[in-house]
Amino acid sequence: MNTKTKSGIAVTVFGVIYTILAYTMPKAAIGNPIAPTIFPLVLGIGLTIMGIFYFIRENKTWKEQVKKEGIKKIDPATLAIQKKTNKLIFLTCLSGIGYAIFFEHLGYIISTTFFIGIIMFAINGKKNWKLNLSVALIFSVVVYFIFSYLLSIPLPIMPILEI
Amino acid sequence: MGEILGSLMDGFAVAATPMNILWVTIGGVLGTIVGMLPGLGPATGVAVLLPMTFSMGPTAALITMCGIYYGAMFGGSRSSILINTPGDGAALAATFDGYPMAQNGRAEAALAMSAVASLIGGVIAAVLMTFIAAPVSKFALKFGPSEYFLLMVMALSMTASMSKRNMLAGFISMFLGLSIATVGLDAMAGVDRFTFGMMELQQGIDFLIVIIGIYALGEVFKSFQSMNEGTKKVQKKFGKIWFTKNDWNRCLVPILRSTPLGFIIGALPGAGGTMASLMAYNNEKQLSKNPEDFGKGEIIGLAAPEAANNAASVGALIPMLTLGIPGSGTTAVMMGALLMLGLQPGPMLFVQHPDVAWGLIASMFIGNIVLAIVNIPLAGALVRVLAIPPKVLYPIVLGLAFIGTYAIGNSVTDFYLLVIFGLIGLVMSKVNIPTAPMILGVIVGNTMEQSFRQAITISDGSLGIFVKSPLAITLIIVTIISILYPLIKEKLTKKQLKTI
Repeated sequence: MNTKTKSGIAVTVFGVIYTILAYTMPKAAIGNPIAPTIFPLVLGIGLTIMGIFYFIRENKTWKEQVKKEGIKKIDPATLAIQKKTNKLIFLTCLSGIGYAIFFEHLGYIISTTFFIGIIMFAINGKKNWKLNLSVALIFSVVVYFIFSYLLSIPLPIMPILEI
Repeated sequence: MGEILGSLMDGFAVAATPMNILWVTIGGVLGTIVGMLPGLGPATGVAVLLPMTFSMGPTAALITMCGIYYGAMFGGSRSSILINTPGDGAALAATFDGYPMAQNGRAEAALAMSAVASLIGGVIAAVLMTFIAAPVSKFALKFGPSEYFLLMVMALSMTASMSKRNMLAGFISMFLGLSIATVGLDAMAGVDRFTFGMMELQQGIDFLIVIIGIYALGEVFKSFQSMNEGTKKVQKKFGKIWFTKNDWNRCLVPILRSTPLGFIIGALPGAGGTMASLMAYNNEKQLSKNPEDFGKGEIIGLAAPEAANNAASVGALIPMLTLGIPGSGTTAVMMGALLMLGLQPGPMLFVQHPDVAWGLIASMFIGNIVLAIVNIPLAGALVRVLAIPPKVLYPIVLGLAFIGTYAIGNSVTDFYLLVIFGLIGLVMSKVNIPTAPMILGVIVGNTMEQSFRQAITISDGSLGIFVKSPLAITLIIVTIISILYPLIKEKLTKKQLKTI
């Protein structure tokens, strides 16, 4: 099973869940009670069917490929880069979630500094700490000033200093 | 004819004030920088910069947005030429001959020719647009809800079926986009759909968030891999940014040939700058006396797609302005911007707000000229941005993506959505499921469903309304052809290959 076949399964599962959710949706009080469910039902059933077809097609291609070439072994160097990349993606996503949680409590400048800082440290390592910290701080402060003072778009302020 | 020119002059009166020209320039410079950045590119760049325009008046905001839009179009090819990384699909063709030119030491000529070709393509397309826009919008007034629904089905199908040989993936992408559009409060019936009790989801998922998530975060995630593999060198010192007379003589006719091609393809929903530039490239290669030079630094191979791609970006504004149907991701963002300003793109725009519509068209002329001026002498300075090492650039891109998102919706729930869509974008690119149909689905999903339900209400539940008018029947036929044509073509090609 490769990524494509797994995606086919994912689409099918999504289609099924979506269809079930559409079917069990609360009925409308105004007009035709099932009107809001029609479009989603068509979409859900369509996605489920297409997901199944996609899975069947990709599974067939995958099996033919394995027959011809066997299961490919990835060389250790590429595997190491892939692992590093996946870790970085995972960390970025976690930072994004953390950013969302703390954004309004810590204010824009602090939370953005942390957000960019964490990602910079993950990418550049501890020895470049001066670069990492300066980029994180400068970016946060500059963007904050542009948005708050030049463009008059309000951003969350930090607790004690109220900036 | 006189009426059209009169309206255009009124448009210039709106667009050509010193303040507005300043805004176009600022928008243009920012757009160029942002369009250059791999990971952002035009569509996302426009989405991220749009919040800046919210505090300006509607006319100034619109004009600045146009500046950003064109700037991003111009900028997208800078990184194609210098670091072989296109800012977006439409700039892909610029890598074929632009990058080899840079490697041969002709980066200055490449940058200059790309700007001039874009200028000519854009201006000619703007002229064509001036004469076509009003008549098309009058025609568009004939569209009732059933025709509108069928038009959107057609546009989406064309987009999905143009995904090369992967039509099934294209349609899956389209349906996913449409299902994202169903999230939120259903206005017609007052029912909460797929909101899981969350108040923040009641207004639905803004398509700008989807675009920024998929294109900005998705691109950055994809780039993490190449970033870990090593960095590219960028030329930092430039000579005079201009080309030779010989270059000009050779490129003029190809540019003039590629412009109408680009314009027409851009006007088709589903096809946009990417297809226009690739077709122009292939066209010129086949018409050339020395096709084997293409791909090695042949300047015509850069000029033709650049002209086509700018012409297409102007052409794409036609369905957007006159019908309210965006032809591409970037025009979709522009449309979102118009909606945020309270202006409904569509046939009524020319009737209710002619000053806005014509001001937009006039700003196309101004925008193209301003940006050519900005791009040629300042190219050397602007391009420094590309010299920022990716390891610093990508975190900045992420920072811009998140702050732009917050400026749009003022809600941290959108941050979670950004992360989700970033991951979805990454997976989709790995399995070759195209993202364009999904984005268009998110954008038109609600209007499409509402048109359907309105049509059914008018016809009292009968589906016959969809085959009632000649226009509706034409739309259905075109849709069916657009789906069957690639399938039949593929079968015919396979047959031909077998007989060789």
